[in-house]
Amino acid sequence: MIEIGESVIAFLMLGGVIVGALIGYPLGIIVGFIGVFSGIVMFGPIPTFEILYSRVYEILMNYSLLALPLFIFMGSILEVSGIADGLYDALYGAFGKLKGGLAITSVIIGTILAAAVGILGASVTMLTLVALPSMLERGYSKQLASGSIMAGGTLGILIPPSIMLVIYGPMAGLSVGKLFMAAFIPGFLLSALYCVYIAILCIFKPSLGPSIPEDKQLSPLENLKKLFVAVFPLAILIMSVLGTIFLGIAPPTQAAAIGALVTVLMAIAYRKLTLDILNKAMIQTVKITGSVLFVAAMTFFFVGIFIRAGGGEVITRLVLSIPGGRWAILFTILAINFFLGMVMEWIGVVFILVPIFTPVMIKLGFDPLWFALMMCVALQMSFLTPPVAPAIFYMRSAAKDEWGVSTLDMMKGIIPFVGIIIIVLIICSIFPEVILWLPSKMLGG
Amino acid sequence: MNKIIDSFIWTVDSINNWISSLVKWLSLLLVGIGSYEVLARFLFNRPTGWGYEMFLMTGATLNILSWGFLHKSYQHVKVDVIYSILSERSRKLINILCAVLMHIPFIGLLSYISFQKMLRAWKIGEVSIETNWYPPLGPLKTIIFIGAFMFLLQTISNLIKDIIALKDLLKQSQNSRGRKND
Repeated sequence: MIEIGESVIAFLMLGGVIVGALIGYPLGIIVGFIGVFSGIVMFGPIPTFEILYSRVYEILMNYSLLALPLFIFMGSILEVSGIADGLYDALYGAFGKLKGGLAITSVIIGTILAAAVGILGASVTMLTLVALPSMLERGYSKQLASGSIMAGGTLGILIPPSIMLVIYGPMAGLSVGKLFMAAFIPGFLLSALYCVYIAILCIFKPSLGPSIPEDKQLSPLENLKKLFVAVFPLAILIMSVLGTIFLGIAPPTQAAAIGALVTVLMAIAYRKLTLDILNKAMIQTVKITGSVLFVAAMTFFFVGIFIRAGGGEVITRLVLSIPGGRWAILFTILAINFFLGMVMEWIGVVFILVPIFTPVMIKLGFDPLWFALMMCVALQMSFLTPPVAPAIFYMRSAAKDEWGVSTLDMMKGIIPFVGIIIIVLIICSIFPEVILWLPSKMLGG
Repeated sequence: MNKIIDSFIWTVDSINNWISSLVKWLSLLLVGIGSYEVLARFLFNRPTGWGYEMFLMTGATLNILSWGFLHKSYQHVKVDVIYSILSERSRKLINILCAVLMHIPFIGLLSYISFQKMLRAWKIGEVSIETNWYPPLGPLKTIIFIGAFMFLLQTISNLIKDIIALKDLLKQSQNSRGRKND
């Protein structure tokens, strides 16, 4: 209707979203309003209304996205029923002898919970309450203790069944099952490198993470028994969900449904399912699903308008004009992703950047699956870096003042782990098989 | 006038509370339908005709109906880097301005469109053609309208509450300033 250059429109729309988002009003409203406003100006009201309704409808009726409430329900039941509470005790005995063992334990619990739960806040909160006081009591350095908890506790973003990947799939037109498999090795690589780093650090500076005294150690047999009791139910659950997807028996949504059912049955078997717990799990499920899918619907609509207005081509041209070849372009996009993730909620970043950038990367000859994982690992990093670091936020709200762990300790503690994430990004760039090998072995994908 | 406003807020808030206490059970229903469908197919080799779309519609209902009551306590995703360091008064001001300028027009529009779509679905007896179950879409589209409309009403209710709270804050600061001057 009004003749303005495509690039001006593109910048106004994206700039409007970033500035608008920073005001602090619900993101979905800002994005949706800018979408409607630009749509009416450019295409007139009737087409805009049609796009709005059909896009919202598409998100509401999206089968892949409905894995979200199921995984959240599964995780919430696990979290509130306390099925996983025995983990720390069990692993404490097994790894406590090592120097830095408790920090390693925190990372390993984070990894196990990540494979079973996938809700970010849950594992950081739980580890802060259980592992942090016990590490401080044993004289661990505050920085190492808090760093290992935050790094381990946020692995759930990457290790399947990750909520981020469930959302990423439909936005980029990728299979969620394949994304899960692709995230497997990078996720565990990250976890392994965290542990290796802690072990090496504590060999050279034992005062940072002393081993637990002899009289507190259990016999190996007792340890094994404890370990088995604690890990067994979670292992069954993880196998049943991820195994089903990997073997091509069922898509993630159905696997999630089975996982949720198994969790409920398990909670009943352990006599831990009360009406109160069920209630909390249901409320948490509705809350997270509803708020995520509201942003999903609105950004999906926004991107629809944006692409129609030619914004996609503007971005493509802009991205292709970055000097230094395709690796420089990749680096730039990952950096944008990371910096946006630092100031904004990851949900907004995934929803807006992924549909806009993915086509460009395919044009440049990058595998979309590989690119997806690079983006997710980079986002993982932005979870740990201030000013918007959900990890620090969750830890600060769970940690008690008398433990004397300051926000500065947490920020300093996280730095080496951020370095490890960068190393993993470099490894994945040099050896793309780290990401692509497992999905290529998947059955029926 | 005050009485009307009070009863409006009370009515909207309690309807949304009531919706939230119903909707949470849909998450359990979703688990039920989803896993029943898988078990029926793999264990008994008798896939249901209705499972897939019933699952989708339950999920859609859970989502659209939750938007209103989530807004009641401002639980929608927001970027609060700046918002969290602002004073209570500036926050209220932001909420009020954004609600009037963006939220109410936008969700009002969404309610209007979904109302039209709902009428059309009932009038022509629209059915879903995703599977060979062909369920009518009228009920679902009615729910989408209710969801959008309750979101709109909740926004208005929040707006009024924020205006009242802002007035109180201004009055308080005036009082304390007055005392200082004495």
